[in-house]
Amino acid sequence: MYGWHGKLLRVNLTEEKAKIEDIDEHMLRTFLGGRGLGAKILFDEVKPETDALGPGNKLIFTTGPLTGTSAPTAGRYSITSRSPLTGTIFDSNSGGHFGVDLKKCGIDAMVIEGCAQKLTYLFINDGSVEFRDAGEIVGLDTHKTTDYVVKHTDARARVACIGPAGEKKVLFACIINDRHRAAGRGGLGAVMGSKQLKAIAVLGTHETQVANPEEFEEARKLAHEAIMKNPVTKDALPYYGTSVLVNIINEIGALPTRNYQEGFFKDADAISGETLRERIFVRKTACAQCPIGCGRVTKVGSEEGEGPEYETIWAFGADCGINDIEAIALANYKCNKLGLDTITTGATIACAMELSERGLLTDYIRFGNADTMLQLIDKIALREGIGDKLANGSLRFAQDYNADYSMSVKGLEMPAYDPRGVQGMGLAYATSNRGGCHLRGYMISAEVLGSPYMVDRLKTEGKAGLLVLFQNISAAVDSLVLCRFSQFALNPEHYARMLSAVTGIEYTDTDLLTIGERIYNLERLYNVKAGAGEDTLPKRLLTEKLSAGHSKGHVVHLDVMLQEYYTIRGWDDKGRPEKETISRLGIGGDVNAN
Amino acid sequence: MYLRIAKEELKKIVSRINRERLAGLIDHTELKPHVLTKKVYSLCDEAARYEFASICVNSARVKEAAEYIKAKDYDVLICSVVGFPLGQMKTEAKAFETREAVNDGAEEIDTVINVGKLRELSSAKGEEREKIRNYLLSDIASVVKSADGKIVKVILETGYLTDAEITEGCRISIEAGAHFVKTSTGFGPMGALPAHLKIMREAVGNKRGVKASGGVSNFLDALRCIYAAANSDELLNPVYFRIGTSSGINIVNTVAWAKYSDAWFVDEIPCRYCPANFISKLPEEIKEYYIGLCRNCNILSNAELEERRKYHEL
Repeated sequence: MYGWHGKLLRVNLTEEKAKIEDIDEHMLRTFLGGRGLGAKILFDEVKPETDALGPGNKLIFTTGPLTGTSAPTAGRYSITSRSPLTGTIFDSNSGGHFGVDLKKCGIDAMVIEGCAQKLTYLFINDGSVEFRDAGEIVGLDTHKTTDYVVKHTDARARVACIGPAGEKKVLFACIINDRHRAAGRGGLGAVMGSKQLKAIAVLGTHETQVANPEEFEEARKLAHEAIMKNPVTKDALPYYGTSVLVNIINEIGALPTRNYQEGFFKDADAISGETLRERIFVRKTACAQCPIGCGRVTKVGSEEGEGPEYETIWAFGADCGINDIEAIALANYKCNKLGLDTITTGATIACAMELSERGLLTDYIRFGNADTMLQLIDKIALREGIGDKLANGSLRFAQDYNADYSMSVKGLEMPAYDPRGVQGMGLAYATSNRGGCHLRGYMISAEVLGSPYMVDRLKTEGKAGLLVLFQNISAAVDSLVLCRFSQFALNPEHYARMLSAVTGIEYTDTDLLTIGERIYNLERLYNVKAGAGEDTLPKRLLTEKLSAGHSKGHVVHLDVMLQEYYTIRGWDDKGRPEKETISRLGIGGDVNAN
Repeated sequence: MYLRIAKEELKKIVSRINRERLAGLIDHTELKPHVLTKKVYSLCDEAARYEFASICVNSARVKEAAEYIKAKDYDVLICSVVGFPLGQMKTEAKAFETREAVNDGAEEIDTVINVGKLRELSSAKGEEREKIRNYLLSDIASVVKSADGKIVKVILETGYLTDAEITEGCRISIEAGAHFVKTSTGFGPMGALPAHLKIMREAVGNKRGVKASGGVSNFLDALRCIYAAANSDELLNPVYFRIGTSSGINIVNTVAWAKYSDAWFVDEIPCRYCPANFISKLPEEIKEYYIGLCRNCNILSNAELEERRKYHEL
């Protein structure tokens, strides 16, 4: 088999047993890997009513057919589970180098089941699995954990682990690999913590076999060249990193400010990519096989780390009313070490700040106070004091105070784009299968950055069709598993050509879009069965007009776009896939079966 | 003056075009003063790979490009700019540069008209007008002659011209024997705007070529240019229409998206493609000309007009 190894490693923590299984070739062809393969395995093996933090939930690590090749940005891997934060099916992917070494273990997927008796870490060496006592690293942060595991396994090993937040089952704990890269969203770190699994070290020697090396080299060159010619991937991201967006998004009046109460942050320049470069930038960094290199190594005082990324800068900056880039960077370092999703952490603190300012919360937590923000991060990770409530995310936190100020969709906090100023992004948040996420269909690309072409951000016309296209190709790219940023420059033909050359199976661009559509519908079926979430937005975005900036006076016209979206998707008026759609895509499942 | 293009019209163009056809219209261009030889070579590699109509370089780079193309056995045409980018050199200098470029291997010549002389033509009368017109004719004809049968395109630098001057520049170019008229150098104001391209197509008719250049950076820009200057199967041909751009790869890579969804085009933002929106660096009288047209535009509301007027006056 080319591209894939055709193998799955099943690890049962309860019984401390592991075995290698064959993966059905048809499943690999039709779901590819990464997000698609993870969704299919979860759909087949984990019932939607399963407790996300119970032993019945599974944590599925996957790579893609291009992982381990020299395809641009092919250094990523994906993790899928049922999210404790949203109750939906949830995948999160991450860069760095862990993904390549995971695949070198000779597997395409690793399914973690059950729950260990005590805190454990795994050493997976070329497919053989060792269960090791993690007693000495209880409560350690992700950096110290990584150092310990590398020291006690192999200096060449790559490590993914959780910090104290994961151990404490903070509902938005993340999984950190290679010290700085995060599978950030949805609380998959809490799932790992609930299984008493502290870390996984991987080391392998299995190379990915390419069916047609010459054709692959030609396809790879074309893709690489396209990335090097696209204005976003050749200039903006390499030079400023993702934080280049701060000023751009603020300029259009869509930088959510003070828990989405406004869309314009007057101090945006103080937290911009330009300021980051002047004040704390040390050097660039890149994930495996990435020609873009959007990563930033930064330094504040004696602390050095990677990031903050744009969404993180927003979450701890504009959303909390903070204009101090150093404090934001420190918050980012803290989250990476403690193992917290920066977006949900910042947004949940912002929610608390609004509750406090409105007198609904007695604790004195004010917008603009960086010290308070930094203290709260520690409290959340350790579930201390008010941190214990905040550790459940903004939706549950606001509900505790009978308030409506959680800026989340399906329980997942929205990131750094106010959809009142980018209408298609509003539809993207509402219909995302994992909740308030910008990455399922990154409409900013067309609505703001003009890639692959510019559309009017304030209009609703045509947005449903465009979003379906973006969501489908994104699902396919997440299954390959390549970086979302590659999509600024590459079109479906580029991906299909590389995939065909690697696997020896002829894929067209429309085949890839169909695979993406299949994955999107499978995820939706799971959510429908799980009764997880509604396709809507926080009331504020639908009723409160922005008061300043270049999106002033706008709300999201979701109702106009949503029904059109359902029609294009072949879903009913409640967002459930119709039988004809399910049948056309060849996925099992009756939405009413449960 | 703003050229409104209906969504349905652009859809029709998309139905006619694919990546290969679009690539065949593009002159893959690199004219920056700081360009290095290795960049010229990569331009040749890319043109061969994407099957662009030609590469477009400065005349000093033609020889090395020709040698590289020969060594690599590529089927790539070389277009050399001449009198670039100002067009204010002597006729003999342009003729000499043309001969050298052709001897070095150029198959096409893009020469810059003497823009200042063309502008003087508008206000000149009688004998003086005839004298200037003859100068312009001779200036271009000497390049055509020196090109020895190769394709000659005349760059008008439309951003410095009124509509009437654009029309006159087109007529003179064709009368002097040029095969194409071309909008811009990329170093002047405006670049290729649909409103100007439409005037140029009307002026030269369907038997000569029009080239859009300057600021064409994505496929939607390219489609708008095609609508304005090559909106038929017959004209959608490198003999009658070209796009000069350094973003050719990005353009052909993004056009594939159009076939998956028709959501790619919604009504344009007024002024975005209007020449009156690009006047900050213009000579005073040309600026006044465009401000006047802008005030007459019925697309903008009074309030928007007022805001624009203030902006221009600043």
